Amino acid sequence: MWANRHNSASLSDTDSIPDNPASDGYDDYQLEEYNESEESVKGDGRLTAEQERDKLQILLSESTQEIKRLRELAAENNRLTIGVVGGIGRCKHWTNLLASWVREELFPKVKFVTGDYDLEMREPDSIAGAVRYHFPSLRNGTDEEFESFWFTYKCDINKIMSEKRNAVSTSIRKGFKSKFKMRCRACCWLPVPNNT
Amino acid sequence: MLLASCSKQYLIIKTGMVEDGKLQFLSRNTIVQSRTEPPDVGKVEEHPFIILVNYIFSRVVKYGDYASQKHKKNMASIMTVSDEAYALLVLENSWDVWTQNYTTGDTGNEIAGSDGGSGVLVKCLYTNHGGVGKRYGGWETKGYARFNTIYDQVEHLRESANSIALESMFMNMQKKDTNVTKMGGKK
Repeated sequence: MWANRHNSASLSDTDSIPDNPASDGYDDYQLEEYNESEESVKGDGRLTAEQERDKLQILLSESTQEIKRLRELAAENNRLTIGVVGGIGRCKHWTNLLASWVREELFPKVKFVTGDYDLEMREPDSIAGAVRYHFPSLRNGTDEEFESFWFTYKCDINKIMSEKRNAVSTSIRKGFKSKFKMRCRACCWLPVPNNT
Repeated sequence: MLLASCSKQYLIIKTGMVEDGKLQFLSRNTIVQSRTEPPDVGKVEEHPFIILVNYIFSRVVKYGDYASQKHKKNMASIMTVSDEAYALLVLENSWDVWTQNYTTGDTGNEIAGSDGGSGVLVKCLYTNHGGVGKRYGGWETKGYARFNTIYDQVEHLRESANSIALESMFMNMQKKDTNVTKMGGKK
């Protein structure tokens, strides 16, 4: 259809149409629209287009600055939220609560926390989910409050777990040693090797 | 020389079990399989599982829970699979080093040779090999893998009839001890 109409127009109206490149291959409606827009541009002159471009550039720069300002506000808001939950820096009360929870509840079930991946999961059976479920104030709070809390205290989990592992290992070593000593005293007439 | 050989003999944990006319010793390679030994062989107090519970497993769980519940509940309900697996892992890891330390009284990691000179260098199996977390023991990746293996073994062994019989035997033993203690207290 386009080829047919293009051919017919070129054959019949070539002389009547002035030097208008848009006339080739366009129907009447499109041609009228193009002419109107061309006229509006031409009517306002080249300065209007430049002015519009300048206006757009100014608007763009203003919106960019606005986005930057909003981002800074959001970051500030995050910092304030973290400050409210964790107190100034850290809250000793929460540190102790979390430490006792890790020693008594988490350690019997989990012995090693390998990397940050285990701490970033949010499923109900994950470590973060268990922490949130255990403490009512976290359970009843919002997600944002918990995230800010977890951001501050998640690094404590691995540290407390390591300390507990070390304490258990030391205790086992003492049990091993005591068993040796007892056997020697009970069964052997030779003196106990002095290793204390 | 006699003292050294005798102390070495007794510094291996001796169990009350007899096999082929010889006393069995608890060693690094047999601690994981302690639940597989039949309960009615040898002295009850010197069964490998009882020794491990009395001296090792009781130190992994919270002492208050263990002391108050050992004559009421089975060990499987007092101590989690993870606790038991970790205790076995720690024992297996440090067995050679501790044996050497408590045999010779040295705190270093070198075993004295037969001629009195320095012998083979003893190291823990899964820790202190210059890993990242050296401060708290520095468990290596093969240590994690071994922990998972022991965990599966313990979980499987806990369901066996032999293991259940051992646990009930230990509970009955603790009940008797508790009754004796109470009677002594009344006097």
